[in-house]
Order: sequence, then C-alpha cells, then structure tokens
Amino acid sequence: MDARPKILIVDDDEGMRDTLRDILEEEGYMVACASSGKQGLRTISEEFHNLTLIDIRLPDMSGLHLLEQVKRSSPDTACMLITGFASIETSVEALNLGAEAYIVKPLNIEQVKMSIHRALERQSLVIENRRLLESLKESNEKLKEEIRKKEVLQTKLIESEKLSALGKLVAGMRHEINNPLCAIMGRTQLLREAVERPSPHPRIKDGLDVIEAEGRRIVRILEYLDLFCTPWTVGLRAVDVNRTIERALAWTGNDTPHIEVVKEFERALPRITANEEGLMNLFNNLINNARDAMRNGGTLQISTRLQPDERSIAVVFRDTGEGIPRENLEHVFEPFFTTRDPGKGIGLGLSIAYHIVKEHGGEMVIASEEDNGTAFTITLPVTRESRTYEAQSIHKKGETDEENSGGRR
Amino acid sequence: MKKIVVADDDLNVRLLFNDVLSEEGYEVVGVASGPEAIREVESSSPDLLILDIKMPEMHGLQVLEKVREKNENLPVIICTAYKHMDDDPAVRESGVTAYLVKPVDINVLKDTVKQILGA
Repeated sequence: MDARPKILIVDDDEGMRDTLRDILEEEGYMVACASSGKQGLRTISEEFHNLTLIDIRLPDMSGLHLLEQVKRSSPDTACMLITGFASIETSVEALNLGAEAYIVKPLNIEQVKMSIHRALERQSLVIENRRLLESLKESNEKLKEEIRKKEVLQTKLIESEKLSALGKLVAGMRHEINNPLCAIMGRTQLLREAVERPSPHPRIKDGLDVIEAEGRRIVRILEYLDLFCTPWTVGLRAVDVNRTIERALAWTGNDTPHIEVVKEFERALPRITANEEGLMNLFNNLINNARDAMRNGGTLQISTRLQPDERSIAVVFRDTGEGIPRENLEHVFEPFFTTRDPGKGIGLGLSIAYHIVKEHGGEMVIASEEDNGTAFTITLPVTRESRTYEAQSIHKKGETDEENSGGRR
Repeated sequence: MKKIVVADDDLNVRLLFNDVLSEEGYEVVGVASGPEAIREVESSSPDLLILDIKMPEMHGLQVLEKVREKNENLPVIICTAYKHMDDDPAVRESGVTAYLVKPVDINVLKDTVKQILGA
C-alpha cells in the first residue's frame, strides 16, 4: 500500500492544475485532479485524500460550498482554499468552515509547500491523537473490568477465610462441649442404677454434683461464644481509653494482689469511637492473661500513647511472666488454643480479645520470649467522628474561657 | 487384676471411666496427656489403653503410633466425638482395636472392655 500522502487539486484552470501537480509530485505526494466540484466530491468519496486544494471559483459551485461538503463527508481531510484575491470575508468564512489555510494567487511556491506540509503534519497529529484516546479508553475499560473482578475475588476470599475461621471455632466448640456432655450422660446412667438400689448410694450425690458443675461449664462456654457473636460495632461512643483501663483494673483488682501494676498513660489521650463494653472485655482478658503468666508475682506495665501520625492510639500490656514459646506464638489468638492445665480455662479469652480489636478497626500484635515476658500491642483508630468531637469540645472550652474573661476587644 | 490406662485431658471423663470400670473389677490409672500415656504404658505394662483422640500436645493417633512401636499387641480403644471414624483410613490403618463414640454409653463401654479383656 502506498503510504504517500494523497492530495486532490480541484480547479477548472488546467494550467493551474498542472503546475500545482508537478510541484507537489516533486515533493513526493500522490496527486489527483478534478476540474469541478462534483468531480472533486466523487473522487473524495472513492478514496480518502489527506488534503484538498480547492479553487474558490468552480464552474458548478463555489469553492466554499465544496469545502463545506468535503468537510462533511470526510472530516479528517485537510482543506486549503485557493483564492484570486485576498478578500477578508471569504478568507474568514473559509477558515470558519474548517479550511486549514488559504493561498492567494499568484502563488508563492515556497509558501504553498510550507502550508501544505504544516497542514498534513497537523492532520496526522489529530488522527494519531484520536487513535491514542480510543486505545486509552479501551484499556481503561479493561482495567475497570479487572478491578471489578479482583474485588469480587477479594470478597470471596474474605468470605472463605471467615468460613474457615468459623469452621475452626465450631470444631473446637464441639470438642469443648462434648467432654462435659460425656460426664453428664455417663453420670446420669450411673445415677439411674444407683437409684434402683435399696440404700442411698454416695454415688448419687457425687453424680448430681458433677452434672450440675458440667452443666454450668457448658453455660460459660456458650456465654463466651456470645462474645464472638456480639456486634461490637453498635453502641459506639467517644471513649476515654485511659479511664476504661482504670475501670478494668478495678474490676480485676482483687484477683491480682501479687502483681505490681505500672501505668504510663499519655495525658490528654484523644477519645476514640468504640464500644466501651467491648473494650472492657478486651482489657479484662489481657489483665487475666498477664495474671496467669505471673503466678509467682511480677510486674504488669500498661501504657497508652497517641501514635506519631495522630490517626491511632497504641495500648501496650507488658508482663514479666513466663513468656510464650516461639512455636505457640502463631496460635495464641486461635479459639480454644490454651497451654493452661485442662479444666483451667478453655482458651477463648485472647481470641475474643483479638476479635474485638478487629471489629473496632484496629490491630493486635504479640511479642514474647520464654521467661522474658510478653507484650501485647493494640492499635485502635482515632476516627474522624471522635476527632471532630475533640475539636468541638476544645472549641466550646475556648468560648467559655472568652466569656469568663469578658471577651476580646 | 487386669489394668487399664485411661488417657483423656478432661478430669471428669477420667473419673467417670474410673468409677465405671473399677466397679467391674479392673484397676484403672488415669493420665491427662499423650506423653504421659506413653510413659505409663512403658513403665507399667497395662492390659488395655483407652485413648481420647483429641488431646493437647499430641494427637491420639500419634500416641497410638508411638505406643505401637514398642508394643504391637497392646489393645487400644480410641474415644472420639465423631461417629464416622471408621471411614477414615488413617484410623483403620493405625492398628486400633476398637473405638467408642463420645458421649459414651457406659454399657457399651463395659461390654467393649469385657470383650477385649474377658470377664
């Protein structure tokens, strides 16, 4: 295919046509000629021409009219008008109709060549630009589709992770509940046998004690499970975390006489948007966990601070207890994982604590070394609402001060 | 007197088995974990081991494997919460003698033990 630009000359003056054709063919263009408007239109409709030179006065129509028609049928074709006189109105109208330029007779050959060259350059830029825009639009659409697909996949992944976590929870739950049930069912059978005997058998009282205790154990397990099902994202208020920690310490205080508690609270810690009951549960769990790790006494250090980026607060619970062996560290937040003696807790406390932190949009990490203690670091976001709350309360305070000091002058 | 070792991490389950089986005339020793069970079997050579499948530290089948290394002929009963244990090829190939589903019916427990150890 010939890649040379195609130019059409529309002029009824044979001399002019031939002259122009020679010049342009020498420049390396492919040239076609037409001697009337109709012929010109026919040629344009048969084949795309990059540029047309239109004489203003044609036998069958005005050059301006032809210009209009060409622009309508082939908008990408550059058009230049050849006029015998530089009438301003004609020139302006030509430009308005979409002509690239007009050339005035007698022709200045160099100017003609330059104008044509510029017009063709501009045309190729316009076409290229359009092509690029379309290709950009296409790849944008493809990208949008990919993002949509990824979002669907991600949602599915999160769902399946939740299901798998749920599955683990249910499996652990089953085991935990099955043991008390085993004792209850077995004892009930033994009681029936004992009841048949003539004199009261000590086994009757023993059996009843066990049944009641195991039944209570199942009740406690179900209460724990409730903590998982409770939505911690309702009942939100602006909470002063330092105060909540104090309350948790008061709540568990009597259980931990052998432990020294050191508090390093940041003063004026911003309030966070939280469910206060959830935070109480969280802190109680961590305090109990520390207590269990320091059965022979020790120090629990609790510190709070606003993070440097001011978008979250960090709460650290650090104990000087027995620490956690490395192989257990990754399991610490799993439901029913416990290293305590059987019967002394079912290992849900830390997994509930983790769950509550996540529900609040935060993170909890653990660092521990055997015999060197454990540190739990919780970060909780200071949300926009609570930041606004802070700003409002500071503002209100400012107003009050102004009133009290008689206002500004 | 025939000796039975009961391995289960739950105290009340151990006590239940103890009460039921000692009344039948067996000597019963309870242990709370897999490693303890292995030690007890090695040191006291019991006539039967009753093993819970889900214990902390070591899975019941692992304990069974270790016990079988030293003692091919010791009868072992596995206790499990799952009814369809015999569908699991790992269980079938482990050399288990019988299995009981929890919560255990004490009559089924007595009958199974009697079948294995005799009266």
